[in-house]
Amino acid sequence: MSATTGPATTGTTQYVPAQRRVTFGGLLRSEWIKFWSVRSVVITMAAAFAAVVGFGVLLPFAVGTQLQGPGAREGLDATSVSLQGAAPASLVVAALGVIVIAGEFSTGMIRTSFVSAPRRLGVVVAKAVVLAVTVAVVLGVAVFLAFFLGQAVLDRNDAGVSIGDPGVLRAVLGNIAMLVGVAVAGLGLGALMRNSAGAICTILGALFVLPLLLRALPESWGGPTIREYYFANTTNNAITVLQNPEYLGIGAGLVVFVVWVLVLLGAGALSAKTRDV
Amino acid sequence: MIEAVGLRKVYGSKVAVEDLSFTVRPGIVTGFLGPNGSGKSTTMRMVVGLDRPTAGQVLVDGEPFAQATAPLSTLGALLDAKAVHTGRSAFRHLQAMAATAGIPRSRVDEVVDLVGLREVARKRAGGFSLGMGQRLGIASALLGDPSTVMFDEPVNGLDPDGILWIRHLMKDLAREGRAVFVSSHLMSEMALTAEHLVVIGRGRLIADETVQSFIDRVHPRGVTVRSPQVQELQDVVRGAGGTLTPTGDGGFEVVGLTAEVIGDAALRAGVALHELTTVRASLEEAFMELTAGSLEYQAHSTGPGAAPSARTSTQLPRAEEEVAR
Repeated sequence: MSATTGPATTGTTQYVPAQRRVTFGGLLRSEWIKFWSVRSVVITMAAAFAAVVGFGVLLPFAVGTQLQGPGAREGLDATSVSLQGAAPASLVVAALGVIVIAGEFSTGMIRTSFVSAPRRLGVVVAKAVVLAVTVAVVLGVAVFLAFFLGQAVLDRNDAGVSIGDPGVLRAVLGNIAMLVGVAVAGLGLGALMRNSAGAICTILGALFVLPLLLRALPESWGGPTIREYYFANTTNNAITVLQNPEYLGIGAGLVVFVVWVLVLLGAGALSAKTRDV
Repeated sequence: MIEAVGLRKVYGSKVAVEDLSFTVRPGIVTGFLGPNGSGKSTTMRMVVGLDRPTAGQVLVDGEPFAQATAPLSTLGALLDAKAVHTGRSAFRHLQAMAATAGIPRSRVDEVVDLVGLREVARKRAGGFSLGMGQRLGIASALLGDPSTVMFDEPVNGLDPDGILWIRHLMKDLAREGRAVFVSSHLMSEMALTAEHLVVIGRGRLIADETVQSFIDRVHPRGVTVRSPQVQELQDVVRGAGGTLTPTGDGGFEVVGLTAEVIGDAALRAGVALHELTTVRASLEEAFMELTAGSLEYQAHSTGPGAAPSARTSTQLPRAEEEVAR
């Protein structure tokens, strides 16, 4: 069983190469190269950026036309108006998270990834870090851009708010956190399901269809509690300035959201670690 | 160096690999031979930890590959299908691999040149031909300068030049002291490249020996002899302890004597020989003989025992056909 039996029987000295060890930094660099070298990923990223900025400019124009007359501005969350693009963008980044890993499973690339780093977990974690940082930076820029452009448009009707106003910066950052979390959740689901189409449909249903269905849950079935703690609803108050008491508060909501994301990522990582490829 | 001990892999109710033990030693090319569907790729996936054995274990340089700290320097693998993202260029693919272990850019250029992909390295791998895909796979396998290389059907899709190139490459790698493990369903290919053979059929080990002893063991060599003095020839051969079988065209096949012994005996007896040819069984023949034997054994052993499970008995003929082909 020991290595000593081999060379002895053949009479040949075994080739001993320089040992190139896998490091987490190396895995991060590798995932960074992979992320930016597939066209579909770059296009998806650009689409999410366009959605955030595009809606951030268009919606304030649309809302601005309705701001005539007394009392029209009451209950208006000017911050939310300029950040409406984050909702469609969350769909796009969820899909992005899915394809970053499910695309490897469908093309066979995952075998190269796991032969290069056979402990596997580092690959999934490095992917999550690269995805989270990229979404945070690129869509962070987009969210701030949308906010400032949107407020400039609303200011023409004197309806804009300043980034320094109470709760505004927090809501802007809340949207960025939501986008990052949804992207990482997509990655976890992609690792779990290994199939882009299936995982994208599942997460879109989870983000947009299920919340609508949950609204129909009667109180006797625990409807309000389920609605509060359900994944897609946990950030409802973190992304807006105006608060809705039906949902979890900002801090509690973000904590529950992070738990959801980490559970999905953990399940995906465990599946990647233990199942055959 | 690869050491497999009692490997077993079951997918659902199908046993893909059963009690497989073998060693791939440094310094030689070890051929991994078996018909399509015999479990070669499954075994290779278990070697690199992509598939987990149901039982048994396989070690690469003394430890399971899944625990290797320097995997790219330990074992380089070319796996059956393209393990490449179709949307990424060959160069970026190699660069991403190299980055995991801090392998410098110069080494990426080196392997790209070595496999002859320089011109297309910046193109999407999805557009590659099978042969180009194989070359990229070989570049990936060599990237970390590993002490063991493992190629699954490397000549698939290569042109004659490419086939010649890979044969030389494998021999060179072995000469440098690396363990080289290469699978093929082509017996002729193995005869040209491998020194040692691991032969499997239906997931079980059939032979683990040198190419030469494999051929010798299965089919003892005979000698074809032809002479105008038929009666004298028979006397001479029988006198020397050989047995004769008429070949049907006036010659005889002699078993039990070497060509040298027959020739000397014929000279002493004054018998003129018009032909004296040593007949070697080809690797093909040896292989067919062995796998046919293993199938018979399989059919007899599973036949009666398989009665409770209808699934097993319906699967059997299909597998047999596959091997017979």
